[in-house]
Amino acid sequence: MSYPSERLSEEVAFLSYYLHWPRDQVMALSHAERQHWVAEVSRLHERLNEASSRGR
Amino acid sequence: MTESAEHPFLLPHGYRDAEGTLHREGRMRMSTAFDEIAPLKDPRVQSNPAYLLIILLSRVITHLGTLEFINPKVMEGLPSGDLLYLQDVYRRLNETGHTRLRVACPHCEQQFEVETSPVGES
Repeated sequence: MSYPSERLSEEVAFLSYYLHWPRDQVMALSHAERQHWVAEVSRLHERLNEASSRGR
Repeated sequence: MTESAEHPFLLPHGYRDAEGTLHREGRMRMSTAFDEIAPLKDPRVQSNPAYLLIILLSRVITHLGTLEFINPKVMEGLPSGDLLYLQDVYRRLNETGHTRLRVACPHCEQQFEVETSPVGES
Protein backbone atom coordinates (compact mmCIF):
# COMPACT_ATOMS: atom_id res chain seq x y z
CA MET A 1 0.00 0.00 0.00
CA SER A 2 2.95 2.32 0.48
CA TYR A 3 4.24 4.64 -2.24
CA PRO A 4 7.19 3.11 -4.19
CA SER A 5 10.23 4.50 -2.32
CA GLU A 6 12.38 4.98 -5.45
CA ARG A 7 9.64 7.03 -7.07
CA LEU A 8 9.18 8.98 -3.85
CA SER A 9 12.90 9.89 -3.67
CA GLU A 10 12.85 10.89 -7.34
CA GLU A 11 9.89 13.23 -6.85
CA VAL A 12 11.35 14.83 -3.71
CA ALA A 13 14.74 15.33 -5.43
CA PHE A 14 13.06 16.69 -8.58
CA LEU A 15 11.11 19.36 -6.68
CA SER A 16 14.04 20.27 -4.42
CA TYR A 17 16.35 20.61 -7.42
CA TYR A 18 14.07 22.81 -9.52
CA LEU A 19 12.11 24.77 -6.93
CA HIS A 20 14.71 24.95 -4.13
CA TRP A 21 12.04 24.29 -1.54
CA PRO A 22 13.38 23.12 1.85
CA ARG A 23 13.53 19.33 2.28
CA ASP A 24 11.10 19.29 5.23
CA GLN A 25 8.55 21.29 3.25
CA VAL A 26 8.71 18.92 0.25
CA MET A 27 8.56 15.88 2.53
CA ALA A 28 5.45 17.25 4.23
CA LEU A 29 3.42 17.66 0.99
CA SER A 30 0.64 15.14 0.47
CA HIS A 31 1.28 12.67 -2.37
CA ALA A 32 -1.37 14.39 -4.49
CA GLU A 33 0.11 17.86 -4.01
CA ARG A 34 3.68 16.66 -4.63
CA GLN A 35 2.55 14.97 -7.87
CA HIS A 36 0.78 18.17 -8.87
CA TRP A 37 3.98 20.25 -8.57
CA VAL A 38 6.07 17.58 -10.32
CA ALA A 39 3.60 17.75 -13.23
CA GLU A 40 3.71 21.57 -13.27
CA VAL A 41 7.52 21.68 -13.41
CA SER A 42 7.52 18.99 -16.13
CA ARG A 43 5.02 21.04 -18.13
CA LEU A 44 7.31 24.07 -17.87
CA HIS A 45 10.19 21.95 -19.16
CA GLU A 46 8.14 20.75 -22.11
CA ARG A 47 7.20 24.31 -23.03
CA LEU A 48 10.81 25.46 -22.77
CA ASN A 49 11.99 22.49 -24.88
CA GLU A 50 9.37 23.22 -27.56
CA ALA A 51 10.32 26.90 -27.62
CA SER A 52 14.02 26.14 -27.91
CA SER A 53 13.49 23.55 -30.70
CA ARG A 54 11.35 26.06 -32.64
CA GLY A 55 14.14 28.64 -32.27
CA ARG A 56 16.72 26.36 -33.89
CA MET B 1 -6.51 20.62 -4.69
CA THR B 2 -7.37 18.38 -1.75
CA GLU B 3 -11.00 18.40 -0.65
CA SER B 4 -10.22 18.60 3.06
CA ALA B 5 -7.33 17.88 5.36
CA GLU B 6 -8.92 14.95 7.17
CA HIS B 7 -11.41 12.31 6.11
CA PRO B 8 -13.88 10.48 8.36
CA PHE B 9 -14.17 6.68 8.50
CA LEU B 10 -16.21 4.15 10.45
CA LEU B 11 -14.45 0.91 11.38
CA PRO B 12 -16.44 -2.26 10.58
CA HIS B 13 -15.60 -3.77 14.00
CA GLY B 14 -13.74 -1.20 16.12
CA TYR B 15 -11.01 -1.00 18.73
CA ARG B 16 -11.89 -2.09 22.26
CA ASP B 17 -9.73 -0.43 24.91
CA ALA B 18 -8.70 -1.82 28.31
CA GLU B 19 -11.91 -0.43 29.90
CA GLY B 20 -14.06 -2.19 27.32
CA THR B 21 -15.03 0.97 25.40
CA LEU B 22 -15.45 0.45 21.66
CA HIS B 23 -13.95 3.07 19.33
CA ARG B 24 -15.16 3.04 15.71
CA GLU B 25 -15.40 6.58 14.33
CA GLY B 26 -12.13 8.09 13.23
CA ARG B 27 -10.40 10.51 10.91
CA MET B 28 -7.46 10.00 8.57
CA ARG B 29 -5.24 12.66 6.99
CA MET B 30 -3.46 12.32 3.65
CA SER B 31 0.03 10.88 3.90
CA THR B 32 3.27 12.60 2.96
CA ALA B 33 6.72 11.51 1.74
CA PHE B 34 7.90 11.82 5.34
CA ASP B 35 5.18 9.42 6.55
CA GLU B 36 6.37 6.80 4.07
CA ILE B 37 10.12 7.26 4.58
CA ALA B 38 10.34 7.69 8.37
CA PRO B 39 9.01 4.18 9.26
CA LEU B 40 11.64 2.52 7.02
CA LYS B 41 14.25 3.34 9.69
CA ASP B 42 12.16 1.69 12.41
CA PRO B 43 13.77 -1.62 13.54
CA ARG B 44 10.30 -3.25 13.73
CA VAL B 45 9.76 -2.53 10.02
CA GLN B 46 13.30 -3.62 9.15
CA SER B 47 12.77 -7.01 10.79
CA ASN B 48 9.18 -7.36 9.51
CA PRO B 49 8.17 -5.26 6.45
CA ALA B 50 4.48 -5.99 7.16
CA TYR B 51 4.81 -3.77 10.23
CA LEU B 52 5.06 -0.76 7.90
CA LEU B 53 1.25 -0.79 7.64
CA ILE B 54 0.90 -0.52 11.44
CA ILE B 55 3.33 2.42 11.69
CA LEU B 56 1.91 4.22 8.64
CA LEU B 57 -1.67 4.00 9.88
CA SER B 58 -0.70 5.14 13.38
CA ARG B 59 0.84 8.27 11.80
CA VAL B 60 -2.06 9.25 9.52
CA ILE B 61 -5.01 8.37 11.76
CA THR B 62 -5.60 11.56 13.73
CA HIS B 63 -8.68 10.51 15.74
CA LEU B 64 -10.26 7.25 16.79
CA GLY B 65 -13.31 7.40 19.03
CA THR B 66 -12.42 9.05 22.32
CA LEU B 67 -8.85 7.77 22.44
CA GLU B 68 -6.38 10.42 23.52
CA PHE B 69 -3.41 8.92 21.67
CA ILE B 70 -3.17 6.84 18.49
CA ASN B 71 0.00 4.75 18.39
CA PRO B 72 1.21 1.46 16.85
CA LYS B 73 -0.03 -0.41 19.95
CA VAL B 74 -3.63 0.69 19.14
CA MET B 75 -3.23 -0.41 15.52
CA GLU B 76 -1.90 -3.80 16.69
CA GLY B 77 -5.08 -4.24 18.74
CA LEU B 78 -7.44 -3.77 15.76
CA PRO B 79 -9.26 -6.78 14.28
CA SER B 80 -7.70 -7.73 10.93
CA GLY B 81 -10.93 -6.79 9.14
CA ASP B 82 -10.47 -3.23 10.38
CA LEU B 83 -6.84 -3.18 9.24
CA LEU B 84 -7.91 -4.28 5.76
CA TYR B 85 -10.61 -1.61 5.72
CA LEU B 86 -8.14 1.11 6.81
CA GLN B 87 -5.65 -0.05 4.18
CA ASP B 88 -8.35 0.45 1.57
CA VAL B 89 -9.30 3.91 2.93
CA TYR B 90 -5.60 4.91 2.94
CA ARG B 91 -5.10 3.76 -0.66
CA ARG B 92 -8.22 5.53 -1.97
CA LEU B 93 -7.56 8.73 -0.01
CA ASN B 94 -4.01 9.04 -1.31
CA GLU B 95 -4.82 8.04 -4.89
CA THR B 96 -7.92 10.16 -5.39
CA GLY B 97 -7.91 12.75 -2.56
CA HIS B 98 -11.21 11.40 -1.18
CA THR B 99 -12.61 8.11 0.10
CA ARG B 100 -15.68 7.87 -2.14
CA LEU B 101 -16.10 4.97 -4.54
CA ARG B 102 -17.00 5.55 -8.19
CA VAL B 103 -19.67 3.03 -9.16
CA ALA B 104 -22.09 2.47 -12.04
CA CYS B 105 -25.80 1.65 -11.86
CA PRO B 106 -26.26 -1.89 -13.28
CA HIS B 107 -29.55 -0.84 -14.95
CA CYS B 108 -29.01 2.60 -16.49
CA GLU B 109 -25.17 2.44 -16.44
CA GLN B 110 -25.00 5.98 -15.10
CA GLN B 111 -21.87 6.55 -13.02
CA PHE B 112 -21.94 8.14 -9.58
CA GLU B 113 -19.95 8.25 -6.36
CA VAL B 114 -20.91 6.64 -3.07
CA GLU B 115 -19.68 7.42 0.42
CA THR B 116 -18.05 4.34 2.00
CA SER B 117 -17.94 5.69 5.53
CA PRO B 118 -21.47 6.13 6.86
CA VAL B 119 -20.30 8.12 9.87
CA GLY B 120 -23.06 8.53 12.39
CA GLU B 121 -24.60 5.10 11.86
CA SER B 122 -23.99 2.40 14.43
